[in-house]
Amino acid sequence: MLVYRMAPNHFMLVVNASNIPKDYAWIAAQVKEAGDAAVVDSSNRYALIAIQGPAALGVLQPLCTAELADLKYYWFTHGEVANARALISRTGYTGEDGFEIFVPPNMADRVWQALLESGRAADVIPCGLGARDTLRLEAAMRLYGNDIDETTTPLEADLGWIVGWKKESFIGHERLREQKEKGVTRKLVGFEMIDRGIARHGYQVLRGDKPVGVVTSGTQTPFLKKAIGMAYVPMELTTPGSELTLDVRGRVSRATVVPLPFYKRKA
Amino acid sequence: MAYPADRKYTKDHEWIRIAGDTGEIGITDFAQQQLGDVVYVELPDVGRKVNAGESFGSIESVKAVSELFAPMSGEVIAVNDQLKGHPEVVNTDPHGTWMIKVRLASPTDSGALLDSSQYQSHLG
Repeated sequence: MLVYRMAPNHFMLVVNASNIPKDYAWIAAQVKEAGDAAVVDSSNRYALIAIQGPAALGVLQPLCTAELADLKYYWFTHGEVANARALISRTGYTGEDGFEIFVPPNMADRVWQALLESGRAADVIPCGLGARDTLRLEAAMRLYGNDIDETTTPLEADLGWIVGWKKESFIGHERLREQKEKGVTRKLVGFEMIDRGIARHGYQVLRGDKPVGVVTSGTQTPFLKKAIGMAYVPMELTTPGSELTLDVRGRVSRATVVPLPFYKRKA
Repeated sequence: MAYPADRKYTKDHEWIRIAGDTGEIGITDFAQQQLGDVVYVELPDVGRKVNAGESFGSIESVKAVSELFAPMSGEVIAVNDQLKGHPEVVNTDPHGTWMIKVRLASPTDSGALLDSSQYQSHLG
């Protein structure tokens, strides 16, 4: 989820599209009393198009009234894209440079076509969630529903840097501080397969024939030409170089723990 | 890619080439295109009995894992070991890559399978 601070007391939350009703219900339930805050599901007012990759700036800028070169990674601005009113942020879930463009839904087609046209020389192609999933996994970006869910904590997912520890209070802070102090018993790690095949979401990590962990994401990366994945494992298996035993549809397969991310773009 | 006339096809996109009482079994060009990059082929041991229409193994591509179905019944007499190290040959040469050889229970019993032109109409 990304949070956009539109004004000091005005925030836009961009949640996973498949979780809109669930997330909206949860957030609305946190509003304690009238006047505290107002929560609106404005999903149907926006269409979101992401253009990702090293050529993104060069493709988008000619269509855009806002100056994008100086826009910092994970900042946003307002402007027009292909004459459509837009919020443009330098974000994305691919690990590459790129932009996400929020436009009114009835402008989405025009903006999409304009991007494809502008991107012809740069070989811009339409791509869907399958491609996005490979990219985000190479960059070790955690995906809700795969790598993180209601049963995992930011510390276990190695996302402690996202938590505002300096704040005195936030929802769940007691439990998180306690876990931070005592230490976690399992952690999300990256692995590369030694044996052939892909270990996918839900496959078990074994010790002997006992499950001790679980794979959360796995794929073959076309860029690294390896099968990779992430898994929750007990602390003693988290050191890079540790060998993992995985149950791949009844076949015992080996993998090695490697540092994350699998791929990091050059700055 | 043409579908060779020297073999029979299933609606599940396997092929079988029969010579005497043995049959070589692989998957079609259409199947490999649908699967995408193949990363693993899991095959039975020699000696396994397979029944027509039943799974004899699985094929894993980047996208998904799919079952492999035996076009005819028989006993596995050879397994293509090349696929262990180089599963990608299924993509590059699907019709030249057999996965298993089977001693057929009834070699003449291939009537229910499709010939190459029937298979191509099946693909539409």
